[in-house]
Formats: sequence, structure tokens, C-alpha cells
Amino acid sequence: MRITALAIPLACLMLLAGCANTAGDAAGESSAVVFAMDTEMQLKAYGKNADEAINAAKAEINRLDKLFRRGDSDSEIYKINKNGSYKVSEDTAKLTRCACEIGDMTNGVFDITIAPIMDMWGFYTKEFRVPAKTEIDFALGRVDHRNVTVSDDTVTVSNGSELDLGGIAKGYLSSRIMEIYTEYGISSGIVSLGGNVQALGTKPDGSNWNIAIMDPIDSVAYIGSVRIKDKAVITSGGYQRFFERDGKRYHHIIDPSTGYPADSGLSSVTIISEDGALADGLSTSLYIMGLDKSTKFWYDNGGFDAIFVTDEGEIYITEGLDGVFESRKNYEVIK
Amino acid sequence: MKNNIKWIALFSVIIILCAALLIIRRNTPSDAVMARIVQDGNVIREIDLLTVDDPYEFSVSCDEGCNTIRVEKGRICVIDADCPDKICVNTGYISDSELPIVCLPHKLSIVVSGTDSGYDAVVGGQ
Repeated sequence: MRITALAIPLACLMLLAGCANTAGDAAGESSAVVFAMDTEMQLKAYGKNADEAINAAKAEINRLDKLFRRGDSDSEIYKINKNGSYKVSEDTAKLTRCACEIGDMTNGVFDITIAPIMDMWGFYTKEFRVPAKTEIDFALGRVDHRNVTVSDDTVTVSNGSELDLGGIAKGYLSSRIMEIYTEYGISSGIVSLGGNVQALGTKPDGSNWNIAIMDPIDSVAYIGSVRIKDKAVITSGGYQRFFERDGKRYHHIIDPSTGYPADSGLSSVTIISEDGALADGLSTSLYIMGLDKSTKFWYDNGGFDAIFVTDEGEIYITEGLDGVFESRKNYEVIK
Repeated sequence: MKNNIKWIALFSVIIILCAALLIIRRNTPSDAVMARIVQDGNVIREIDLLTVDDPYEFSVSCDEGCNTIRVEKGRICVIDADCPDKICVNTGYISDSELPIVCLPHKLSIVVSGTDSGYDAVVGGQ
């Protein structure tokens, strides 16, 4: 009797103490922070092989970062630009092909040859300046994604164009990490690459991941959130990377048709898609297009959902997000 | 019979103690909102943002330059920096754990923990 009476409270004590810890490690959580591609990357995976999966993902980040770094003489992108043509790895060929397809889909609004213009504004060197119009017009002659061709494993650039995959590499990388998680048997994981988020499966408790979207006007606030699984959520906006000259703000999303920062009336565009590279390319493109053209693009192409915030703070979401997007603010559903 | 009552009393006391312990453990972390200033991978300063009554500023220097950090009750920001891109300054105030402030040129980041916003991640226009 005495033993039973003692055993019951002891069992309760162990149970309760156990409850307090489950959130941390029962699911086998592993996480890491990596600095690459000019951003801070946060990785998290849950499951038996979480540590191995995170290590493999870190190695993949470093491998792809080296391949895609335009300014590094060892990178494949540097060699393509220097030689005009270069036999590349499967990743570089695949991503370049994908970027060219998005270029075609958007009629050149997404352009992987925009680099000379970005250089001129100083967005790579961080030595910002406002270039003269004649300078921009001259450089625009070299900007055309159709000057890039991929044949088997060889990428060729012509007419003086230069290739830069920076506008799409993070999206490709987040999708690659999802593949690695899957290879290691992980069914629940997430990456945040400088604010670009992609999630695998659901959270360990089976609920969808809740991803907040920053308010372009107030950095402490969010416009709302989306509950997702197996999706990438990627935002483009001009409110974090910019410089000011003579009281005017110049942000880093350059419209390839003008050579100037896009001024389409949108302050942020968020794309939700299973394909990280597509979401990355389209968030930039739709930001440049503006609301009306983006809406038409969505009608014509589909395959993704979007959240638009105008310069005035109005919010528009596409139909697929109705019930997925949660917000205290007013918003309109595009159907 | 008397013996049984003694054991039931003991049993009840232990259960109440366990429950109290559990509640204390669950609630303690939310009593502090910690901002951690990390330079080149090392935590150089920790601040409980809820205990800040009067806002203040301080500077963090490294070989590459300097960041001025402003601390207010419940929130923190980089108010000035001599880094070339100023992304840390443009990030503005943060008050929860979802998105850190990062200054890549100075290898500096500010991470807030101890808040539970209910979000798993945040996307922003980078």
C-alpha cells in the first residue's frame, strides 16, 4: 500500500516535469544560423535525422553560394561572364534556365542581365550614387535576358550582357533545402533566408506554419499572416534596401525597362508558391509591374498566390488566400 | 483507515506542488523579453527590454565601423551606423523574436527572445 501510494505522486511528478520540456526537444529539433548570399539564414528541422539534415543543408548553402557569386573569380557565374560561354554544373544550368523562363513569362520584367545597371547605382559595392540618364540609357543596351541561352550544360551570354542570378538564387536555395530535408526523412522543417521563408510539411504538432508579413510602412507591425504547409513565402519591397540623395529615396528593385527604381504604386508584393525560385522571381517582377498588370498576369498564368500592399497601405490578396490570410486590417480579394 | 487518510493527504500535497512548479516553469520565460546583441558570433550584451524605463543609446564598435543602438521599453533598434548599406538602420525597431536586426558588414545581429507572437517566421522586403 505504501509503495503504491508513493509511486502515484512520483509518476505524476515525472509526467508534469516532462510536459514542461516537450516543446523543446521531444521532436528532435535542430537549428542553425548561416551567413551567406549577403543575408542571414535561419534553418530549423524536426525529426530523428534533424542534425544530419541541418548539416547537409549548411553544406549545400555554401556550395551554391560559391557557384552563384558573381564577383568571385572561382564562381561559375564569373566564368560565364568572363568567357561568354562556360560549361556549368547542373544547378547553374537549371537555375539559369528557370530565370530565363520567368524572363519570358514576364516579357522581360524579370531580367537576369540587370547587373550593369545595379552596379551603376552602387547596389553591389554599397557606394551609392544616382547615375546620369545618358549613362543608364547606354547600359540598358546590354540588358536583355534573351542574350542568355542555355544549351545542355553550357550557358552562353551575348551582346555584352552579364549574368547575375542574385534575384532568384535564394528562392532556388530554399527549395533545394526542402529537397535535402526530404532526403533525410524530415517531414517538418523551415528556412528563413533573410526574410524569404519556405516550409516543409506542417509544424511538428500537425498545424500549419504561421508566417507573418511585415508592414512596409511600419517595421514593428505586420499586415497579417498566412498559414501554410509545403510552400515558399517570399516578399519583395523597396523599404529595407535603399539609399537617400537630396531628400529622395532610391530603392534596389530596378525596372529593366527604365533603369530606375520601380515606381509602380506598390510598396510590397508577397508570393506564395511551392516553387521557391518561381516565388522569388515573381515577387520582384510583380512589384515592378504594379497592381493592374500583376492582376492580369495572375489571371493569365496562375500557379501562385499573391499579397499586394499599395503605397497607400491598401491590401489585395488573390483568391487562393481567402481563408488562409489572416489580418486585422481591411483587404480586398482578387477573384 | 487513519493511515490511508495520511497517505491521501501526502499525495494531494505532492500533486499541488507539482502543479505549482509546472505553472512557474511555464510562466517564467515570458517575464523577460531579452535582446541579445551578437557580434561575430559572440553575445556581447543582453538587455531585458521590459525593465527599460528611460530610453538610452549605446555604441558597438568593430574594425569595420560602428553601430549606435537605441533601447526603449519593449523594443530596440539600430538608430545609426556607418556601414555602407544601412540595412540595419532601415530595419527599424524590433520587439519580438521573429526577425532579427542584421548588420552584415559589421557582423552584428540583434535577436529578441522571450516573446511568443504566435508566428513561426516573418517575411519582409529584402
